[in-house]
Amino acid sequence: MIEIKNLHASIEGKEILKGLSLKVNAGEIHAIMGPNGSGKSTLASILAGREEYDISEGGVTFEGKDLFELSTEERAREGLFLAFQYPVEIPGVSNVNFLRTAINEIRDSKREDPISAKEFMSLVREKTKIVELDSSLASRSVNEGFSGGEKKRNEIFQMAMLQPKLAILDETDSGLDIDALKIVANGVNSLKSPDNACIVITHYQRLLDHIVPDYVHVLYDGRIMKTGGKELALELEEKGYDWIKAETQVG
Amino acid sequence: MMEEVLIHSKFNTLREYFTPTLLPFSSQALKKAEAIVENTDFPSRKNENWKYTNVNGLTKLSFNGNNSASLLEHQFSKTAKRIVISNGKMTEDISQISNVKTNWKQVPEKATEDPFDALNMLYCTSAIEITFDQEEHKQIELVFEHTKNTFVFPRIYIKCKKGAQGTVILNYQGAEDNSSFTNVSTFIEVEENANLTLHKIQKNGIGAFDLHREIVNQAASSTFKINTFTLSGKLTRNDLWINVNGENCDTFMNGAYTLKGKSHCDNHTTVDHKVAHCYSKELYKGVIDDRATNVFNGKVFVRKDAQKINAFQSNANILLSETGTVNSKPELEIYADDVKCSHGSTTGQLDEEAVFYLRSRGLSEKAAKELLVKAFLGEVLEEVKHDDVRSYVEEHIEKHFEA
Repeated sequence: MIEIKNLHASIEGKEILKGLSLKVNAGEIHAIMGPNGSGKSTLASILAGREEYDISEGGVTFEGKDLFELSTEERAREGLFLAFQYPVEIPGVSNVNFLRTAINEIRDSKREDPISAKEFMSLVREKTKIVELDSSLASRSVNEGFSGGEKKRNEIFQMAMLQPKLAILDETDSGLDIDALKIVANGVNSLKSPDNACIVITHYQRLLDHIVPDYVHVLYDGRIMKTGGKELALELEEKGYDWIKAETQVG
Repeated sequence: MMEEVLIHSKFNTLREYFTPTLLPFSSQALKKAEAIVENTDFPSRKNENWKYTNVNGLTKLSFNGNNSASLLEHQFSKTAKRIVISNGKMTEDISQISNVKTNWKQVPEKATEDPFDALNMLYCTSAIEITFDQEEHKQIELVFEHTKNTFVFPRIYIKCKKGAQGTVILNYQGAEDNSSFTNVSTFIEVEENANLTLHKIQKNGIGAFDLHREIVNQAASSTFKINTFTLSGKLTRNDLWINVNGENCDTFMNGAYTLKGKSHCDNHTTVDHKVAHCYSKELYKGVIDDRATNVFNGKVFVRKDAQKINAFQSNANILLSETGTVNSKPELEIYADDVKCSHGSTTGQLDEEAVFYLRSRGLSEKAAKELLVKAFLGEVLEEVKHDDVRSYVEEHIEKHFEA
């Protein structure tokens, strides 16, 4: 699905990613955990196509294509989706209108016909249920006046509508209460299939009680320092990140 | 008073191209207009009202196209009665439309000191009067369509009589390659308890000059609403002057403009609250791309005894390029002490974060910007209660991003 090889990236002369490698196959859920400042969100931003980072070394292939040759929208059309840590409020642009435009642009890039109004509306009805999003929120301006939890649920709703091959959830759990967390996790779980994959970036273990990962990676100082199964998340929760740091320094 | 004769004035250069009007204005009115044009030159930068708008380019136009046949076909309103004025001439017999008058024994003398108004009278191409005198709502659409190298100088009189209701669509359409000069004077009377709405659409060719002035008088308990859409053209100047002469009036001024290339748009608006207990609200919004420039000057006067006035004014601009220019000046002059007034002006860029967010969902940069611009102008379009007009402007915004 996606292969990141020895990725080095910096912003304003400061190196954030220092040789990050990661391979995700279809059907897998990977969790990336790490302390603040380790480069988690930088990774998400670079994969989604933010242009303010300099890539000095390494590369990313997504479904066999060089990711860096693709613009942000081309990545989305190829099936990459980023759930934002801070979803943007866009006054005056209705959620469903913009999703319909997005779906049609994706279809157009594949030379498919635009979605019919009927088909679209039934898709909206079906997908709003998954994240228990009030259908009135679906038709309101994008994220405008939404609570923190509603914004995150709206991200998962958009993900459900666009049905990406690879979803990257950037700290989707931050700021969520336990009920909202469960709803978001249920949404992600119900979208899981053998054909798609998910990278869950999180600071805390608690989201991983609900979204069970196949692999857990510890990102520290711009590199993956440790990889394990879901039990690694529990170990981190218990011991914190210091032991990883210590291990690294010894190594 | 010394009278200076401006032999080399640009007005004199320009008027050599025009044929004097054949309409029956009184000789006194024509004489007065003649004196104004004779003794004035084009407004210069020193004139505060014309500081940012330079009309010198008018003298570089040529005017040999007024006899060309009409080429265009435009109408938005599917419901309004329509009158087409093609290259300055009426194209059809409109005598069956009872509330429109175009045959005159003598055209009304109404005039201002504005030299372009005087020029309009001297070379007037058509004088049209629309009268609404019934409670039942009526609509009239005037379509002015013009091709290359034409001058179009209509004089329009709109009366909304006591208790009557009406809507007028002023639809100015120029051929895309056109370099016409449209110079319009519109005089509007809104009588007691009357309710008048004007939709003005300016969609002209890349070389077209459009100078418009509307002088409005509102009597007590009347409502007047004007929506101005400047969609294209080389230079557009709108002078809107509203005298609110009676109490309990509502006044709404909305405008939207989409400028690109080297377009220049200048909206000068004045609402003069002369008496108490009135409400006015003004909202002008626009997007400026390429090397286009926009000027907004909105004045609100609240006279000494005009207490309990609520007046709101707002102008907002989005620059889509680094080379676009905005000069925005909202002004309040308040001489009463018990009023509620506010004004504001903002100029900024599209929210880059929002553009990125939309692109990350698969929208092209163009589609993302179009959606955000539509949302930005949506606030003005919401004020347009005429579906045909609104959807026409919406379609234009979509096309604006295609080229």
